[in-house]
Amino acid sequence: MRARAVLPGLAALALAWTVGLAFQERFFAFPTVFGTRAPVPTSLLAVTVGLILINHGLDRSRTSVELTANRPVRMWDAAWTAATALVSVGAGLTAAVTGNPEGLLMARAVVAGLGGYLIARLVLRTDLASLAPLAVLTANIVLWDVQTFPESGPWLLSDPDNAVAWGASVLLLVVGLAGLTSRVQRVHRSADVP
Amino acid sequence: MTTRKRWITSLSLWLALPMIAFVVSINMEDGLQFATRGYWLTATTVASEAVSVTGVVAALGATWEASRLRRARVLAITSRNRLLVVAETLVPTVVVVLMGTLVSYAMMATIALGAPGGPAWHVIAVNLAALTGILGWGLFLGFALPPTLALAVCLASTYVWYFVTAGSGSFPLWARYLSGGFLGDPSVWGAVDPRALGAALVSALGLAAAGLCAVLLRDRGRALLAGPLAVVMAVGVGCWVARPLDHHPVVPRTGIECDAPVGGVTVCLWPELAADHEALVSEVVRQHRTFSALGLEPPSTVSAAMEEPEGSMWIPLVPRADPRPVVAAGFVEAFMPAALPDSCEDFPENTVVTVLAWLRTVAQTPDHEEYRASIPAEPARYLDGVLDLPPRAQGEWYLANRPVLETCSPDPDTLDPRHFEAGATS
Repeated sequence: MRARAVLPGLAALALAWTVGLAFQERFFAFPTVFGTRAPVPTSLLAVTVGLILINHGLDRSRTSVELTANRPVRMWDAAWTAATALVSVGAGLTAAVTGNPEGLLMARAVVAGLGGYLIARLVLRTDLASLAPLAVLTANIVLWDVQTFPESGPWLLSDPDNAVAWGASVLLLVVGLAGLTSRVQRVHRSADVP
Repeated sequence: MTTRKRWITSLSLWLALPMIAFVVSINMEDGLQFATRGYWLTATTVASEAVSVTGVVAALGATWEASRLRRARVLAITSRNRLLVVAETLVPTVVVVLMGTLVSYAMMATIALGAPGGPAWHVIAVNLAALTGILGWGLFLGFALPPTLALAVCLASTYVWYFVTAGSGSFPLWARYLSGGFLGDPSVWGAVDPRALGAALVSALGLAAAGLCAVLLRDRGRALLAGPLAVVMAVGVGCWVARPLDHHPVVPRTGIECDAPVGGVTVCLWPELAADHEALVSEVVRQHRTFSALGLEPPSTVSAAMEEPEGSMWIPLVPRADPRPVVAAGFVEAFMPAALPDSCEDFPENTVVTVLAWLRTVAQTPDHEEYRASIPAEPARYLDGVLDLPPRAQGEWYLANRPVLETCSPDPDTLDPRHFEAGATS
């Protein structure tokens, strides 16, 4: 647990959920490539930022020692990731039932963010992979054509109960978990010396 | 590392294309559409809004390079000047960011080309300082945090710095000036409030100091303490400076020059209005006579500046516009109250509509017929009655109803023009 920074990660995610739910009626105007600014829920940014420590902990599994360990470390990582996603979905459902539909938005962002990170780390350097959740959110925001689709944006910014968006997020997580448990893993690249 | 490899492996270079696309998009949809034309200060301040995009790239690029230096422990083993080593690695980032900034300034310059003066260098200086500051913040994060955290924290913090502070209602309006990218859109009679520039400059210095701490302090613990301390102190001072500002950090511009009186009317115009000088003066004099004939007694000096000369009447004149409608609209605005009540239980709605329609009709604004046709039946009936009155009685009607416009009160009895018909006022 210490190696994966489980407690700090959970604390950060819980704090992010608290902030997100507290500011769920708040939006911030984000520029898009279509010109018109997109109203992005502050809760979505909060919960995506909250994933940073979880991903930081997971990234510690990419060491030579762990990749060659006899113990099923990767299965534990997969269980930890899946549990985080499930708890988030549970929290999102609870929030939605109690009249806070943005909880589902946040839960979907967690699921997609974890999946995006796990897939990105298969091919990208440590620090770039950690950007994946925020990069996915950013791509969703900047590609939102607000004038054509004023009600809701693409994927993470679509309606909380959008089945296609949920399907894509879950698929991303499943593929990411498959990548995590497979033998296709990379050790930290050696640093580039200038 | 070879120069070629430094460039190819630079994150900023890979972000350059989307960054420029973003800057072009923002300026085309926002700045070029709505900014005042023919005024260099507006063009410069609006162009500086691109810092919200170039700043993110600057911070990410700096974090990326600093992370690489940290992992390679280059600063610990180098015999060269540490600042020089860092500066070399930052070259691609700085070039890309300056390129994005240049694109923004070049685009916005098209709306000011030909206007007197030139770019507002003090705004550009603050803009560059803001970019330096965010570059320093990126360096700090790259050196202080593990690579997995650094870039993600950098992206999240720049979102908060540039977008959440400006776009979320959770922050006070003045918080957006700290990042140096939102310095208002002053019209020709306005200038950027120096406090907004000062707040941005101080905050930028704090962020840059954090970067310097991370580079120069050999002890990471001290750097982790000194960097955030510099940021907190500088942003705190920035908050203190920017706190009195509202959503539009603009102060009245000074230094206007006045012509010799024409027909008893002194007209003061900005150099940006010189191209239409003759037409503007004659139109101002004509409108002045029209309103004087109604007994409204406008001041003998009509100025395009808000507070100069003392005792003058300000009419908002924008450059590169048809003089006749712009002067007419200016006189209408001058005779309407500056601040209409917006949260009253009793709102003099019919008075506002009728007075505005009457002013537009008197000034003959291009849209006065359409506006007259669009107002509700009751104000329309009052307006017809007012326009049937003799000119002096119309002026009396206006003077009786004008004070009500700034109050939270129902429509007054004096709104009915029958009170001003011959004999009724005596």
